[in-house]
Amino acid sequence: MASWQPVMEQLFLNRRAALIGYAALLAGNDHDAEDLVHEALVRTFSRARPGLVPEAAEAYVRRAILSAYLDGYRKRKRWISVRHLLVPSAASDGPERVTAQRLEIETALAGLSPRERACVVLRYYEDKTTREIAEAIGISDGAVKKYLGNAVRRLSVVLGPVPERHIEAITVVKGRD
Amino acid sequence: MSTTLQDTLKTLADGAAARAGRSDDEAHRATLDGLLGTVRRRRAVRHTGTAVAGASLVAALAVGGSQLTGGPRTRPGATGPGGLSQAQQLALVNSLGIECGKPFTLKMTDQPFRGPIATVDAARFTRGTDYAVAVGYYINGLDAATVLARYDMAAVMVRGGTVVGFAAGRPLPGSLEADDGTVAILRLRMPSLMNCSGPDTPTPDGLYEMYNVEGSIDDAGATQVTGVVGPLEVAVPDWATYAPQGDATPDVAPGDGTNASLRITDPSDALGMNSTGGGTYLLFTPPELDGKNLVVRFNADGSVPHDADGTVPLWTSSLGGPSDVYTAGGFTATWVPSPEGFKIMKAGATLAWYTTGRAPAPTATSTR
Repeated sequence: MASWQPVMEQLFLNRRAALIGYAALLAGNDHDAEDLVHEALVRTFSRARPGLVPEAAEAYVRRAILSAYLDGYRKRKRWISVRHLLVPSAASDGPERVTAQRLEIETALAGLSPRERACVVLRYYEDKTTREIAEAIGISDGAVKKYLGNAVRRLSVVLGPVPERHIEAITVVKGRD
Repeated sequence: MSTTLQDTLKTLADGAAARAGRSDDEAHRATLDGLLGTVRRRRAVRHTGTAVAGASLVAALAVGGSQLTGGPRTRPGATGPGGLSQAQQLALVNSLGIECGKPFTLKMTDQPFRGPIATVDAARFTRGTDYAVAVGYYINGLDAATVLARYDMAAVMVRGGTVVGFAAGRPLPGSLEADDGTVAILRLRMPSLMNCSGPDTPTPDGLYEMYNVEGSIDDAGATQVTGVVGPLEVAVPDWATYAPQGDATPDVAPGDGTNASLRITDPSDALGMNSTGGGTYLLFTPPELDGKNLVVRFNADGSVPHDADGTVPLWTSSLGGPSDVYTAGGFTATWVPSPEGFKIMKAGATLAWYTTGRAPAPTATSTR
């Protein structure tokens, strides 16, 4: 058996749920989150990475999830073209999720651009610094601050003022994306 | 507001993770097997620089040369697959960018379709004079007929990089084989492959490649390629040249030892008209199993499990259901060590011979 295979199996079987949870923050729904995770796993393990251990592999996969999300995971345009045909996701109907505030936040998140949303998830869920976010997405620190600033401003409509410690590093800058 | 953004994000992520953990282990395993197969294929493509379907995707089947020669089945105006006439089939493959005598330039889909609307999940090939393909589409609650109506399928025969034959079709309502609300299985039967050189022109012996091309119809009615699977090696002349009718035990292994190959050697169709290969299994549809499949499950590394006496365990399954040990008797499977594979037999006669295409395990040697 190839050395990558047990690592991928272990990662999938043990960390699948956590990865889907992370991906769901980006994708906005469980189905797309699962697709993101699957694509990220394939992307990660399709490349030769000698000596890869599960812990490091998860970092690769999380990064691949982000990349796949920002890439629009190739099918976004196709998906959008038929999305109106879909019945509402069953995942959004669960009683554990039906709180007005949370749904409002989800709606607000859904209204963010992909990069804004990615910055928010990396900053507030992954707890990454502006520099780390910039490196992960491949944009400048200033652009990260801009995206975060825009996102927080829009989320604040739902959340109320975001605590100061969350935005202390955010400076809205003008310029190109 | 007391709820912080961090708390909410964590709650949302935890909720999605909890829901993801609810599905059963068997479903997880099946998904993982599919992903592993995809990774193996992509690694193989990276390694060899060629797109080889191989054992992990679909079994390369020896398709009869008679399919390519056309003959009376390709008479002009004949209604073909999906209710299309030959002219309509030609127009359809042309709309996919496929033209007789032109180079086949479509590349194998880098990423298998796993999106909400479609995926090339498996291919089934009917031996004899028909070509058929079954494709699994992820429909995720959509109306299957609505989704499937947006797709075309084409089989393309290629030799030396040039298109030499094709068949094409559109799903008809009767094409829907199964629909569990998540995956719809479409079976598209294509009565004949068109020979670009004309029905009366003999097809030269040799190896051909067959590709499955999937196209979608956009809102404007235009067709665009959305998936390519292949190549599958197709030998002309086919096995029948070497195994006359009634000779159910040809002594030549199918394939060239580097690609998964299946040869049906039974003229009575006891194993059914369809066989499907996946990364971890090969299944048949024997009529006597009354709708159930006869399944051989491979080891994780693609090798064939077998007992010390060479017996290969057989299983039965229904579409989407779990596998059970095949206990009815009748069919047996015997491991073949080189090239690695197995034969399926009944009453002492070989019905099918499958080779995995796996490289033999290296033998321990010493240079000292």
